[in-house]
Amino acid sequence: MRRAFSDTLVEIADKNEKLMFLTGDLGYQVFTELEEKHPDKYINAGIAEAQMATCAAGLALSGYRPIIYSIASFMTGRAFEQIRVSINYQQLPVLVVGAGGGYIYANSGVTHHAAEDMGLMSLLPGMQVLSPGSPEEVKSLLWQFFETTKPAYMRVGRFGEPEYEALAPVELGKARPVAQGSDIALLSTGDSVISCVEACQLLAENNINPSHYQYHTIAPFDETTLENVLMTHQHVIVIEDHFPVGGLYSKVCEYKAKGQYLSNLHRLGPKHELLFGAPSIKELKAEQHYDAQGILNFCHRLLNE
Amino acid sequence: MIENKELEKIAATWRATCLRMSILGKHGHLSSSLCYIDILVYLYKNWLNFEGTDDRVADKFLLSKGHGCTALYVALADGGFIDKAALSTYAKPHSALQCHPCKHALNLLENSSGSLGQALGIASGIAIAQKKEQKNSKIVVLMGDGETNEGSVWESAMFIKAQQLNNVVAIVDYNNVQAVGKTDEISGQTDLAEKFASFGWHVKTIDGNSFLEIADAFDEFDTITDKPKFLLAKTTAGIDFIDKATDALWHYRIPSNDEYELALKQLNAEPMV
Repeated sequence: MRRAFSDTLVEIADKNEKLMFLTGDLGYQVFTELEEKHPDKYINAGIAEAQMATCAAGLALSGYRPIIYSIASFMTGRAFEQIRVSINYQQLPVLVVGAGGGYIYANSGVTHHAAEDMGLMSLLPGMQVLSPGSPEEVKSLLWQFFETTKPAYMRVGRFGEPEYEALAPVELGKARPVAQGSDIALLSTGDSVISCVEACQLLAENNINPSHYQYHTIAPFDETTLENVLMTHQHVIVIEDHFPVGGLYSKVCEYKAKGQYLSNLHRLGPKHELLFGAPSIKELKAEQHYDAQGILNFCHRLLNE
Repeated sequence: MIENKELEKIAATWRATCLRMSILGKHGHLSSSLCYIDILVYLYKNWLNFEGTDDRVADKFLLSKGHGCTALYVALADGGFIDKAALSTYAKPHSALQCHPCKHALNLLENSSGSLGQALGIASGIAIAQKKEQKNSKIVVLMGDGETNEGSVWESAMFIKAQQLNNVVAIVDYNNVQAVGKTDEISGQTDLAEKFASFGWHVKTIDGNSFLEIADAFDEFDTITDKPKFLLAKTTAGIDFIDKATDALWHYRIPSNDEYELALKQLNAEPMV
């Protein structure tokens, strides 16, 4: 996703005179092409997230379309007040990008964990919250962000995530149907989409065909799709690399609590606990059962109950 | 250029108006406005040009310490940017003149403020935009002395120097009083101008209530084009009973009617509302 992000930046910079990209001293050799091709649109602001956020607000007040970039934990946590006041209160069309959201940096320790990034950002009224799961989704959502006039947060994962086949193109603000099935619906966000796709392939071998929707946009939240999902499936499973509070599961719970639905809601993802021990992300997902195997096992268990 | 005698009269009227607004709006933060009034009068009357043309971008004034906003509203009313009658609505529910300036309510403001340590960063973004378009104006940011406790101020100071945004002017209203303490003590008896100088800024320290020294400082700034500029303005409220308070009382208090009459007498001025 990060390569798709940097490549798309260059494409947008080629066409949009108003683009400005500020990095908080992050992205070694990731933004070289942008820096070389568009030196006037690239600034290394230094390790100063608060300054980046306010500077972006000043640029946006002057008609520019700034993007600010740092590691998700620092970008959303350290500069939260500046994002809240200078960017969101003034409703300026700044894109805040958090690299390595969730537990992408599980192995780097608690300082680098960002399992609350989407929660923090979606608490801000009017803030669009984007959580793409593939290079194509990054590219498409980035372009679509520039069609909007509101601030946004985008969680960008790591390098090398695969593309996947979906039933519809990426549309900001709408859940993306990936598979139409029955009984079980999987709701993914961010890179959990890939684990779900893998799980669905394994389940198909046993003639189990869940529905699958990718919520690459958490805010604005696509309630229409959720309503339909809740009305037509016995089990709905949210799979997310985020705390159970503030992310996709929270959004689904809030909506479901407002109505009467027969479907059962479940969640696979990390616990709301400090994560010590610095596991790899792969180990973490396996231990807490939100990798493909975990999803597969959980679906089998539900259907055997 | 308006002469100093006339500027003093304007400042007295603005001070009287701030006091009146505080009483009408039942809102304090008086000393936060009164102390920098002389500088604001000079900026609005003699130094900044708010008329943009095709060749020229209008100068920018960003109030960073949003709580000290009665002075800004008075300046805007005096300059004809807002209706004078609106001043009497200050800090009342639904007023466009909120007790912390809100761009959503009053769009002609450069920025919304009330959370400290942010406008210098916003100014840096405006300055980069101007630099890209080769249309520089003066960009003035006014901060409180207590505000410089915020680390983000220093992130911005470093960035502005690094990016050579030399049309930025940062002013600190140094009245040495913050919400519940003395700025000198909280900052460890260190000099703010020395700090900004060490960040590579051109610095100047003045008596911020002397139009002679204010004029001197801005004349000097006009000649400095290779550095961002920092003005440490040591100030008092300019009203005896406020200046005699030894603590932060007038950060909060609203004057009584007797105090108000006493202040008008000393100022020899009437409010605009």
